[in-house]
Amino acid sequence: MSTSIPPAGAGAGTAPPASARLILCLALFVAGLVSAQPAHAFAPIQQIASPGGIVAWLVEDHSVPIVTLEASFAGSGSAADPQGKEGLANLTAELLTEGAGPYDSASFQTRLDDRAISLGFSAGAERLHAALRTLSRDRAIAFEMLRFALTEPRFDAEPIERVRAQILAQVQRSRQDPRAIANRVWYSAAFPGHSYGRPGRGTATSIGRIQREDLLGFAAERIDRGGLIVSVVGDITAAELAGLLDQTFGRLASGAKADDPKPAIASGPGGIMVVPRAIPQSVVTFGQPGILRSDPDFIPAFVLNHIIGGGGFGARLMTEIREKRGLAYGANSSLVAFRLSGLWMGSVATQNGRVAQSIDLVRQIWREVRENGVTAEELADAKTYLIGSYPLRFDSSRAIAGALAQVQEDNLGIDYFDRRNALIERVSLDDLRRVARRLMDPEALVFVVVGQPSGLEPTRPVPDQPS
Amino acid sequence: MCRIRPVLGQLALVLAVCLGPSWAAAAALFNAERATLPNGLEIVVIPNHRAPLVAHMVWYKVGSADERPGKTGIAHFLEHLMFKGTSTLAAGEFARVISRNGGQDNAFTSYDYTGFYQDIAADRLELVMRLEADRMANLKPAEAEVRSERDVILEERRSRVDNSPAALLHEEKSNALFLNHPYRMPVIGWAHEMQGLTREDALDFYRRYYMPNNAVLVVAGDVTMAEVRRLAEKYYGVIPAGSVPERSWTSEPPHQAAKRVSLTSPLVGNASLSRSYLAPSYQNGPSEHAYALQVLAEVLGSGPTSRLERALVRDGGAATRAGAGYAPDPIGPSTFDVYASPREGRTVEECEAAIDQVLARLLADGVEADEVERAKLRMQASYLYALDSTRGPARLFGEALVRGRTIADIEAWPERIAKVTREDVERAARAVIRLESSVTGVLLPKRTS
Repeated sequence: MSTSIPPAGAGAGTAPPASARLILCLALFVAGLVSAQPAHAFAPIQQIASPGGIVAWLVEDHSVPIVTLEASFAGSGSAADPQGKEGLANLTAELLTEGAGPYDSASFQTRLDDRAISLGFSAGAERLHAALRTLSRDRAIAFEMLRFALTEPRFDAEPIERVRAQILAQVQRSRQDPRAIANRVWYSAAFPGHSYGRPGRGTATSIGRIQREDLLGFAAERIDRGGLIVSVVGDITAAELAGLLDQTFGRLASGAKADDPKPAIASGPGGIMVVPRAIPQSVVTFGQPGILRSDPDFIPAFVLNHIIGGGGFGARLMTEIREKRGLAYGANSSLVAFRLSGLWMGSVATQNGRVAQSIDLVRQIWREVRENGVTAEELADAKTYLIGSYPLRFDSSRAIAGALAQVQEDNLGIDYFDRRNALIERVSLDDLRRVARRLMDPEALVFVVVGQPSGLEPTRPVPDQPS
Repeated sequence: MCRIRPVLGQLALVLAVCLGPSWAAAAALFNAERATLPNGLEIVVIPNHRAPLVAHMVWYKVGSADERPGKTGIAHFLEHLMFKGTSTLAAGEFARVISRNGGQDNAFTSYDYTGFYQDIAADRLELVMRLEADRMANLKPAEAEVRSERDVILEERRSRVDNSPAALLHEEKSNALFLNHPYRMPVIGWAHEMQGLTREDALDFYRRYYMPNNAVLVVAGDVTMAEVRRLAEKYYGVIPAGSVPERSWTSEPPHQAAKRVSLTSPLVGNASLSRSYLAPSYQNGPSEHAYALQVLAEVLGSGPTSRLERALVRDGGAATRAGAGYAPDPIGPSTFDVYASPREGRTVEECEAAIDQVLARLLADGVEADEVERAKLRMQASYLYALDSTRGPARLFGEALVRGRTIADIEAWPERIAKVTREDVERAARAVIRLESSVTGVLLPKRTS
């Protein structure tokens, strides 16, 4: 949900700089390995604490008149939805910009839209995320609107019913979308009874149960300063930001949420599930248990995944499935790191008559790498790519703010951007062999196929999906 | 590699941005510079020194609209084959070299153009220019590679189109709307014709169209024109100009009848309705309406206070979503689109009636000065966001220049939007919103018990 708006002089208020206490100001550089460039290609990161104690990471960049903010709140994602009210975090997120403080939905959104301010919330599995982007001339209003959304959401009847209908339509659509079906079935089979196995957007039934009191309760109890993470990039100084931080987040409860669910291990037998659908191409999601972001082997696993299926052309999945045999347009894999569980996921789509062959190839690659590791050339190529392309990730203010947020959420430290390339450079063939043995298990791979595959026998039943 | 953009340029929306009242002062917002080599290669440089990166792109003035009858998909197939080797580079090696140097690359095909790009550290610019120039002149894909890549594009078609009722309907809509213009054919091609495409078909297309005087080179990022020009002369400058076939596309006759296409499938999740009116673009038809139509789309169907949103979505309206869209950039005709999707318990017919009512009122009573002014300011404010990346402007300029537009056109966008009046918007609406030159597409779910 995002909106934008306008007028050059319409009350573009003044930015109220207050005195700021700079705790840290780190100038970060690192020699890139490909050439002598900074590892990350953006200005130094400052860690700022406002007078009221709100901490934020800031990259000042006055070359464009834009300010971008990302904030997120711990324990407020869809994994925390009460049983039977799945979709609560998502519905709340969608409604925070539908009226707050003195503004009803239309006037709230017009105020943003007229200034081309983009403000939106989204619920991830673990956290509720806020994303704000504004021209710097309008930042006082932009931050004020963010404060209203966080602290005084109205949850008026009209937007509740309208947004509920919109989400129900999305749910309906995703129930017919082959890729969405494959993912939903995969997660429900991997995490039976755990919140990671539930649809984050909810089901028609659970969404229908959510009442206004649930939304008010969620906003009051879950949007707080405990575990708040703030990242800001753009045309604003540390002193200016410090003042805005207190105004925006200062009124939130200090926050100490109790629940901390148990680690969830995706487990169970490997095998194949088939969801019949009358489409010419079978869509496949596959995966197995992976690794936590905090695990010391995460970086080697990340490099290994790049070689298996994270690197596009040149990665084994693409080479074997697309380049050599023309079986698919794309084939890829990625590490998925939830807070309490890691997964190694992948996907491929192949015409019904040849999908069995694609699945065999995935298993073969898994077996081959587990037994023999990868080649020195593959490792060298992965390193030069991962290190050399790192700056490309930071091509916009949004991308930089997103990276700052991720590093904070993963608790990697403000110097991570400087250390990251050296961590990759240090990975050895032995590390990859060890990690392949530890993680890759062709027998644990679970495939969910949506389509009309021929010559492919399902080995597991598809779990019932809540409606 | 190879993404396809079967949709008429989304650019207008992305780009069309700009500033407010003081736009004139900021006219050189992007500071783009242009030059032409003796062999006809056009060069555009957009300096941006925020980070030591470059976006390097080569755009060819050829797309699916240039295909011969029976050979749909050849422009896109050739785009794929450009990665399959030259006289000195093995198949797949292009992407591998880019990747080893920390770069990312890909390509795309549209009705009007075919483009190739690399994003990479600024000190690798020479490398990518050498490689891209090589395949401009020396493409040599092996027969076996061509065959397996043909399977890949057929899988690509299954992924993008055949597995998706909405995409299938979109194809049928385009085919129904355009009576005679080549935009009626899908960019990716019809499956039965794609199956017959050969290496010789691709190389024939390559020899006809891939030459420096039919291309635009765009480099954005941490570079200067002097440096780009020096390297371009060294690598592209040695490729001889060729004789470029004239683009002679068949054009649309007057339209006399409203068309309707519908598709019902168990794979459809939500019913929806979308109507496309044949519309002018910057370069086709009554192009004096091209700027006013952008403002009209904003007033009618963009954002929470647009007319369609208020009438169809808010306060218990019939739809979960409703809006309008218009892209001014195609070389050929464009479309002005309106769409809606009904709420549970409501119908496509109710949505259509509500849309018709909004349009009828617009045609009868016109627009209000205030909503036009607010739409213009909003569009202008958004323009500044285009500054916030290296790749965005490269794409913006490349897409315009490959279609024969100019740097000045892009820089003047905000000013031209600012000049649009209420009367302009009303005139444009009356010229375009005519049922007899429209197609209405209806997507319906088939519920099985």
